[in-house]
Amino acid sequence: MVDVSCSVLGGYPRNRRVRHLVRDYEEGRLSSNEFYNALMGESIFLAGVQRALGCECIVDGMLEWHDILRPFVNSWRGVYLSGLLRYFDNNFFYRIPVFREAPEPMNHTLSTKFNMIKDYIGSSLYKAVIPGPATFAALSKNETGKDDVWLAVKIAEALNSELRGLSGNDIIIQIDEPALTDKELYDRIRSHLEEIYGSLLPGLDTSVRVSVYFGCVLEDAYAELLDVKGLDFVTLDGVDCKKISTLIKEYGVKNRKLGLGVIEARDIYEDDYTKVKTSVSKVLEEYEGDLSLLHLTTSTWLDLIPYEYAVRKTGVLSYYSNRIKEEVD
Amino acid sequence: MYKVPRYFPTTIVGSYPKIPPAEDLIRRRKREVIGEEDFHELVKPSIKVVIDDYLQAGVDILSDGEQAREDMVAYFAERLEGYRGGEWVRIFDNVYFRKPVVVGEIKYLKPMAVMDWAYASSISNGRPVKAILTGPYTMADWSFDLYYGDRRELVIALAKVIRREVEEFVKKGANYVQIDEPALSTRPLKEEVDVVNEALHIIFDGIHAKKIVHICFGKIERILEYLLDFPIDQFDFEFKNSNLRLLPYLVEYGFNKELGYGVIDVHSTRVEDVQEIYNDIEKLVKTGLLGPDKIYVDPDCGLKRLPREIAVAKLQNMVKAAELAREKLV
Ligand SMILES: [Zn+2]
Repeated sequence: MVDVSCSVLGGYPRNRRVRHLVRDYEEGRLSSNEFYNALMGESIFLAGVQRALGCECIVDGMLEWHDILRPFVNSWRGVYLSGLLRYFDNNFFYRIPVFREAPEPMNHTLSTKFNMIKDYIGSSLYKAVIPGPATFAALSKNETGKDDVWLAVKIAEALNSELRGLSGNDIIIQIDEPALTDKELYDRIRSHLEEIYGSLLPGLDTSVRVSVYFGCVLEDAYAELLDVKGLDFVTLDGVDCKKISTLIKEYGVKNRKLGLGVIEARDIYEDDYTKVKTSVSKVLEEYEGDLSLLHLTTSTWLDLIPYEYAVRKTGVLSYYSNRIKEEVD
Repeated sequence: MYKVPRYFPTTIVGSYPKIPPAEDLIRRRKREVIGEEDFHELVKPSIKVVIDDYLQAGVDILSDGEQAREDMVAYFAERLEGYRGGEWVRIFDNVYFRKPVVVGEIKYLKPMAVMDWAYASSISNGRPVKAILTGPYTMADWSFDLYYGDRRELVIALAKVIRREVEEFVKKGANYVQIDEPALSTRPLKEEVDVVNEALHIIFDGIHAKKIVHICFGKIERILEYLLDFPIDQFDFEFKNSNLRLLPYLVEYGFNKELGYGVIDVHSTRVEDVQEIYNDIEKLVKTGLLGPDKIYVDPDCGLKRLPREIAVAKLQNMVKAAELAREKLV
């Protein structure tokens, strides 16, 4: 019997109200307090949606993040922002962080938000999502004079201090490593994942999962990832990668739980249940170890589609997961 | 008729900073306060401002500045059957575009951009004006598709309607037709290039005009060898923003078409000086790859995100640098 759970992978898009809040804040018409208080209402609404739909863990929506790297760059010393660059194969652009020296956190980005959401939503499992150190380094410009692995380790140390600031056993951590699907990016830190994660994971007494999306995880990278100690979960993109079952057959998951992105997060069409079920069954067939818990999720963050569709896809994910739970064993 | 210089002619990629009345008109058109015909009539003074700026700078081959276009995809989507208006999707920071949705078979209704081009041509003192259209691959990639369910099929359907528009342009006398495919650099893969190649045959076969494709910002070197099979006369690429990174690859793959050579960074408000632009032209000439009759000097991409005074200053220096190149490098 397979136990199936689900959650959305990451951030939500901004609705009209949030877009205007961000604009007013950036143009100085809202104070920081006014902005974050107003934004909290939107996060609580999204948390409520996820809770009501039975998501295993809840994200706050990362509504104030301009891109996955930005909040960290803004709160670290030693790094500044430069021009825009395409974010993987999306029509979306992030600002390139330029590292002059090892980053040093000035304040904590992930801090107290979850505590406030809990006041409204009640006890639940919450998920803090951060960019993985390998991806962070690979998407950045390195002007430190040291090599990229050194930089990735320093980023991992800074992220570790962010994560230690998260308290409570009701928070789990997700580390996003989309760079492990891109050979050119992966080559910058190849063969050093264990070392990099050795600086990221110490002292965290909570469940940690890693998530790879925007295509197929590279085989070498996947094999490396499975050697990293302290990861409970590996989540792969089952929408843009058609060979996950082959990968699982070949390498297994080494006693980790498997997360599978099955709902298309970059397009608005209604996902076909039969296709989702088939792809899940295929993975289960190939996997020969203990797969007592399967976690279903969206192929990537939901922030690349309009807000209404993102909320709707959350519902589709929950509904399909429940059906699969009943129909697959 | 104006005689375009034989060597190092100057041109532009397409868009120009929106003249304020044009922005207001686009909003009124959207709310259907004004109809399509009135809209194109009322946008003429804005086009005139753009053309005057070009003429003042001395650019040889012009554009209408895309003053009527809210953005390069939505404008055409709103004027084709099979599309419905989209909702807001983020491009970067807190900047969004309305991503239109394909909900039915794509069909051509009537000329979409010819009237603005015709007006621009009538006031350009005889200088040619490029007909500029968003390519089918970019239209498809920057839309959601709820109808075709297959990217290639959608691209081909869009190519067929773009062909119709190109025919309208050529019928009215357009000598330069440019298809913009910025989305192609999103997935620099041979399979994707093949789809675009097929689409370009649909758009261009049997068309008598100079055929140009503009692609920008991405790992173009990965697909350069396949791009050379396109049935076109000229490629227009961004060079300045990436420090001429593409140049050695042109040499490596034996680039043999005309080249729109982007020497102005449209993402920077710093105005390149004449000598700097001249030096960049000289670097291309020194590769020995292309004769000066095959080199078209222009900005990296559309100028729409720049303040107008910066855009004019950049164009002025670009024209002076091309003049200098004609003196020294021919
Ligand atoms: Zn461009």
